[in-house]
Amino acid sequence: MGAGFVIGVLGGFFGVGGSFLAGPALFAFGVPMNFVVGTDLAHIVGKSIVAARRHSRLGNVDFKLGLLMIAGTIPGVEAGAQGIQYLKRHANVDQVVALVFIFVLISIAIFVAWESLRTLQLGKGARFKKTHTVGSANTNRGDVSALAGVARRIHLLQFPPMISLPRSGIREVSLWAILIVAFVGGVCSGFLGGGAGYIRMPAMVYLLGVPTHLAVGTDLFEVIISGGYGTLTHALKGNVDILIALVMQTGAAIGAKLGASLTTYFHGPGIRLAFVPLPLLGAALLIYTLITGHHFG
Amino acid sequence: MSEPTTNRAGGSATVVWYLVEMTVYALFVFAYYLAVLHASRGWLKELFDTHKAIYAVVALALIIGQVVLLELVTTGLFRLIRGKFK
Repeated sequence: MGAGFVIGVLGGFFGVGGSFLAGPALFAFGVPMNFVVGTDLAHIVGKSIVAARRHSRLGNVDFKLGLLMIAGTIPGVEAGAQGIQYLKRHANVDQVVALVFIFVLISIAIFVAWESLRTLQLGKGARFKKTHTVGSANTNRGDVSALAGVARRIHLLQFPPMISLPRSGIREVSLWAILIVAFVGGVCSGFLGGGAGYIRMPAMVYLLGVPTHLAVGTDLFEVIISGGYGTLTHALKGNVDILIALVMQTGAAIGAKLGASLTTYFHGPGIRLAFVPLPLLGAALLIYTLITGHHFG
Repeated sequence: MSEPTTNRAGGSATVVWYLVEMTVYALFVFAYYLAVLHASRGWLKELFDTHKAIYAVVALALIIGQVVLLELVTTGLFRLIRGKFK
């Protein structure tokens, strides 16, 4: 329950379900990987509802973007869940999923660390702020990022239909870009468990150009959908232990409320930099369990 | 001159209310888990083994119920208490 509480606070703060820690922790306690994925998805649903409601009250959810992303998220979750079923039948699901998890976690930690440090180093001057702001530079919803140019180039891609997202300060972006980001997030959610906020949140900031505060809230809204659908499809496949999910959520539900309140006191690059050690901790836990075969439970 | 003091007092009262509400919510969430564990452990195992579709719906309902229902109950309860205090 202590782990659930810590994961809940972190999830609410970073806009991620905490699967980068919950998944490796469950695996380290001896839970088979297919149950890790399904149970982790189940435990984040309720907690994400609490956190998303709180973020919604703070004005941190772009509902139009969130609803559009559902069309990419659900097929992605199903594709990931089918991948787990395939591995259950044909290969060692524990090792394959753990190795993919380690690769994803380390890649994300390195990328986010590089971007946040670069933004903090370069972000002192007014000129930098003017040219590297994602979202609207004219309102306090804008957010400085060293990779704002990438999002701007993606905004220039003219693959119709083009969508306007005024709440996120995005004048025009291709619907296909939104759907691809959502689909990839969905695949990670269905295959690795959790809401895949660790991939969707950075993708929304760096690729779609959504300000970090809005990406956090919108991601949590999206996690309700991916988690809800993922829980149903994984439970049908026999991959969910609801009693484990409930004990995790007991701590996490309270933590999520606290975590969402904390985002009021922190800003863009600072939030992203603080996120870096967490995926690395999850990766270290997985590597230790894979190499030693030792389970804590 | 007295306005900042009044604001500070109002602020700390809000924090105290927030903490009390969080504690009550935490107790409800914990009690809910114990109740589910006590009442439906065997029944859930049976559902898992024999009726996966029902198990999937029940699992989702239990998870959503734990946080959403209990948050509504806590918020409603504290709205009532605050109303009485006022």
